[in-house]
This record gives sequence, structure tokens and C-alpha cells, in this order.
Amino acid sequence: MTALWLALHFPLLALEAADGPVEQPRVLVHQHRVRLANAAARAAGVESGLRLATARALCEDLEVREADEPAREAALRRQGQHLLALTPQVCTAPPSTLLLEVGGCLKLYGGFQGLMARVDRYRLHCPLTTRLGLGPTPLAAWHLTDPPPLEQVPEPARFQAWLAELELDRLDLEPRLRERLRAPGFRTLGELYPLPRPALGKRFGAGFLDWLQRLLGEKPDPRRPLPPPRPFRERLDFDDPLDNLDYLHGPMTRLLARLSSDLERHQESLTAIRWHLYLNNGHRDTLVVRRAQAGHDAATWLDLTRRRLEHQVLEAPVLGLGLDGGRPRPRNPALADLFPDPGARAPLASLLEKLAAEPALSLYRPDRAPGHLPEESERGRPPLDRPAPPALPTVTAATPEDRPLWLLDPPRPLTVRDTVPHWRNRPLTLFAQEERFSQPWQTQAARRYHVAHHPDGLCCWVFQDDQEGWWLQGFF
Amino acid sequence: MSSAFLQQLLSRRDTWRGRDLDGAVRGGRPTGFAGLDRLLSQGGWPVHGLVELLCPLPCPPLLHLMLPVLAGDDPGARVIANPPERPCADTLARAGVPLARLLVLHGERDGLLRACHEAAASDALSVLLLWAPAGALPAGTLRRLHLGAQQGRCLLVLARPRRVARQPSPAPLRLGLECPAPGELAVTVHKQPGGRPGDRCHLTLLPEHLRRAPPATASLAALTRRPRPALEAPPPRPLAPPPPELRP
Repeated sequence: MTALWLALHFPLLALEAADGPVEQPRVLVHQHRVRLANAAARAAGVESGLRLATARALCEDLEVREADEPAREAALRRQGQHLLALTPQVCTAPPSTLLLEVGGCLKLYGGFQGLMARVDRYRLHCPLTTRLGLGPTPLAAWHLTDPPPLEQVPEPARFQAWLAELELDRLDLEPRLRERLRAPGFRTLGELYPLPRPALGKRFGAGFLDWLQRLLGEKPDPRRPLPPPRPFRERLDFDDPLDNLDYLHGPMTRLLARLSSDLERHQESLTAIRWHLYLNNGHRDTLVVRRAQAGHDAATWLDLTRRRLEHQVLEAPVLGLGLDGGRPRPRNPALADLFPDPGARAPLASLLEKLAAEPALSLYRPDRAPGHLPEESERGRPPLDRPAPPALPTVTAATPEDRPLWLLDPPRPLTVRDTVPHWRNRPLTLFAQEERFSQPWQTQAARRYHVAHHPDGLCCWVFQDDQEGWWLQGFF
Repeated sequence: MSSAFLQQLLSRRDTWRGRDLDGAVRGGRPTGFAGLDRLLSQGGWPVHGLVELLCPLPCPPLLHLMLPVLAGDDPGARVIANPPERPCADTLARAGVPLARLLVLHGERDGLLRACHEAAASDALSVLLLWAPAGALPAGTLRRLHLGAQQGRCLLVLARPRRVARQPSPAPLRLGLECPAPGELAVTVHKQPGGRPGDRCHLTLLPEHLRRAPPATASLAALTRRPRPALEAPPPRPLAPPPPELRP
């Protein structure tokens, strides 16, 4: 694998960091002098170095911007994070350049052509003005901008030839050093190649020699790649407070698209996301949306969020919307069936997560629990939990027929008339056999259970407590 | 009429087919009760679609009637929606119902019906047992449920009160249930494809020792030691509260 570096220059980044390219002339000003001008301003004759007053005289509707370093850095980092989808080795080269190592991922994209197609697609959708550079080392890629159309990776000799043609004026060096290089009569970088390296170092300084060796690939040039932001946490603020939840769908779609591409980049997925609604009254509403299985597609998350939002009541207009991605886990796609069974059922998980997202519904999986009293011997598991562990061994010796199919929790009191318990104002006919259940030790009382028949055609399970009260526990 | 055209007509889902000429039964899901299988023209429950059971609500024996279907080996999930009481997980598991694929759903009326339609149409469910929520169910809602269940290959069993027997319904199969005695169920056909209304059968749901008449009430004095006119104090309840998920 030979190293290949791409450089993406954003020459107008300081002007475009906030809102992208604009049609009207715009300049960046530092100490009353123009430092950077966009295409429209240059067409009007505004150049860098002009005084602001002169620039205003040349161009009437000139928009003047001051340098905003944090915004520029954030924009550069955001572009770098987008490009992490292309290669894990994205390095920032301030002030306005990104360097990408792509030699390692040529095979992934089907060769150089495929890679360049991806890069072209990125540049087409990128909201900033870009210039492309290509080279075998980071510094070479920085300098060799606008390569000719290429079929495959150029061989090293061709890169060397291109580098040799570089004029010394265009090198990324200090002006004083450039002056000293030009003084002996050198014009291009190629004229320095035949000179002995130690002599170059002695004459122009060790720093320059080091730079030259890194440019030509004679010395390694380690770069620190851009770390991906973890965990995903973003926030959108609205200029006008939103008082209708329907208006939130657009911003939510945008945030979910970012989350989805972030997960795609890391080959990860999530089981839950958290929405924060920042309200006008200073409060914050949090909505948790869960899935049955870890997922990464924005469409499902949006559908579940909408279901969740349907029952949300806004106390105050929404000022901002935050999305918190929680803890991602590595994606582990299941193997698809080559010949799926035509009668196979759809997976239950997608239905479960839809139903669980509706706050008005309550859904549970009945499961056995190691309790002693009948109403304690089961519990409801949340539907999105993992499937139940293997069933517990049956603790009671009773046959299945001796346990009712319906359990009343809590038991209902029965009225007693003439020593006969009544339910719905009709007398119960009790079986004589009784079964004892001891209460937990705190209460030290036993329940005596009986099967009873009801005139409505029901077979009931009733018990008598130690205070001679009768209770209905279930139906067979 | 050509035979091909006839076949095409017969294969349509909305064609109402009666009994075949030779009286052969066509594939339904076995109900688990031989008498009921004989009563139903398909030899069992329909494979999918809406079935109405008109019963005195709440009807605890209804779950007994559906136990064999819930315990069947269909790979889909089973949902019990809006049950009048809590079905006992232990008993269901002993009857062979796979608890891992069983869900209990509660909700208010509109959300519940919408969720049931979505669940029935999702193709993930094999059986959906729904106790009709309070209030009238318009024919349009029932028709949507029926079509959703057909689309999702789900048997949707809807328990409704007996008083709606006179109202028309899009359900192809409507059965009336009565409990003449504990552990017994009388099934009356109100409507079924290929059958006449009015056919009846008696089913036995509970084992013999639970059905046979208990000793006379006179022996109750031995069980109830002293008379107690009314209840004042609540019973000693276990300290651990039931899990909150069980609350509807």
C-alpha cells in the first residue's frame, strides 16, 4: 500500500463559514484592510491588501465581515467529520485545509476512479468553495492543487516532476525564507533537487531541510487524525420559538440524518435516543425513544419519535431542540437468509417498538416470578427487554388444573350473608378441600383457598383470611 | 362460464364460499375441541380474519376456549388485548402457551383499536384476542380490523357483549357463548360461511373434579367459623407492591 494524500482547501472558509457562498460581494477585513474577498468582490476590483475605504469606493454594496476564528475552526472540523465517512485519517491543516490519507481505502472504493467519484460527489454537495490537491505526502498534496484528470494513481516519478515545477513563490514558507531561496537565482523547487542536502541545511536552516524532506517523502510526516465526536450530542436553536409540535419534524429529520451518518461512519447502532425540548419558560422536556433492537436508520427513529410526540403536550414554545445519542454499540448485522421461508412471519421487534413508543398504551410480557402468594408469582416484563430466560422450575406441586387462568390483583372482597360468601349478590357454592398458603412472615397469617361455583356458570378461586373475611382471587 | 374464470373467481379473497359439495372441510386451525371443530364449516377457526364471540362480558371461560390456539405451534406472536382481568402467566405457561411470544396490551379506546389494527396487520402476530372496549363499534372499524387481520395473516378474536348479536357485522364467523354450568360452555352459531345459524354444541372446559357439584351449602358452617357481617379492615397485603407494568 503506497500512501496517497488528498488535500481539500477551503480558500474562502473565513468568509463562508457561517452561511456558505453568497452572490453579493463580501470581504474579510482585518485592521481596516481587506484580507480576503469573494469572487463577486474580486470582479468589482477589490483585492486583498486594499484599504477598506478604497474597497467601499470600488464596490457599493460591499458586505464587510470580521474574522471569526471559532466559527472558522468549527466549520473546518464539521467538514472534517463529514469526510470521516471517506477515510478514518482526516487531519486538519489550519487555517483552511483538510488532509486525507486515502491510499489505504483505494480498494474499498474500487480503485482510484471510484475514490475520485466519491470525492467529486462530496465537493458537489459541499456548501463551501473547495480546491483539490493530490500528492504522495501531506505537504505535497497541499501544494499540488488542481491535478489534471487522471485514470489511476500517478507513479512517484510523475509526482516528483510536478513538484519540481513548483515555483518558489507558491510554497507555503515564510516570506523571508522565500526571499533567501530566490537570492541565489533559484526559481523552481526542482532546481534545489541536485544540491547536497547537508549544504542546503547549512545555508537555509535545519527547519527548511526538514520541511523539504517531509515534502519529498524522505522523512516521515506523522499527523494526528481528527477524533470523531463521541457520543453524538447536537442541539439546534430556533430564531422564532415554535409553538406547534408539527414544526419540530423538520429539525428532527435534520438531526436524525446527522445522527444516522455519524453512526454509519462508525458502523454503530443505538437502542435509545433522547430528545431534549428547551422550552421558553426555562424548563426542559426530555423524550426517550427506544427500540427493540439496536438500529441506525433515520426513518424508523423518526416514525417512533412521531408516535411519541403525538401525546406530548407543550407547556411553552420550544426554543431549542437537542438530540442525545446515548451509548452506541458496534453494529453486528445478522446473516440474511439466502432462501427465506415464504410463510415466515415478519419480525415482532418492529411492531413492539412501535407499540412501546405510544405512551397511551401499556404493554407487557407476562412472566413467572419466584413469589409465594398467587398474585406474587408473576410479573410483567417490559416489552423491549430481552426475551425471558428459561422458565423457572415450578415450585408448587399443584397440577395445572388446580390453578386459575385469571388472577385478580388485588383480591376482591366478597360480601358474606348468613355465613355464605356472595359475589355479584349471588351465593357461591364452596368445595370442601382447602389449600393453605402462608403469608410472608411479617404478617403471620394463612390464607385458606377453596374452589367455588357461582350460579352464573363461573368456577372461582376464593380464600378466607384469618379474620374470617372472604376474598375472590381468580377464575378458572 | 369457463373453468379458468371460475377458478379466478374462487381464488378471490372476498368471495364468500360455502361448504364444498362433498361436505369436505377445508383447512382451518383446529380449535382443540372436537365438538367445535365439527360445528365449524372450515373444521376449525378460520386461518385469518375476524371472529366475533358474543359472550356475557366479562367472560373468563373465553380464554379457556382459546388456549389451544394460543398454545399452537405457529411462529407468530400472540397478543391479549384489553383483558377484563389479569391472565395468570403460570397457568398459561403450563398449558403450553409460549410466554416469550405472548404480550398483554391495555389502552384507552381509540388508541387501543388503532394499535390492534396495526398489530393485526403487521404480519408478526398469529392470534390477537381483543375484548371490545366500551362503547359502540361501528361497522367500518370492524371491517378495518377484519381486513387488517387478513392482510397480516392473523386470527383476530373479538369478544363482544351478547346484546350486539342483532347488529350486522362484517365478521364472517360469529359465535354466541353461554356458561350453563361451571366448566361448561354452550356455543351457538350466529353466522358462518357455509353453515346455518342456530347450530349448537356443548363443550367441557374444566376437568371433572372442578366441574362436579360440590357438597351442599349446608356444610358451609364448618368452613365459616363465625359470621361476619361486613368487612372493615383490608386484608394483610404482601409488603412488596406488584410491578407497575401490570397496572393498566
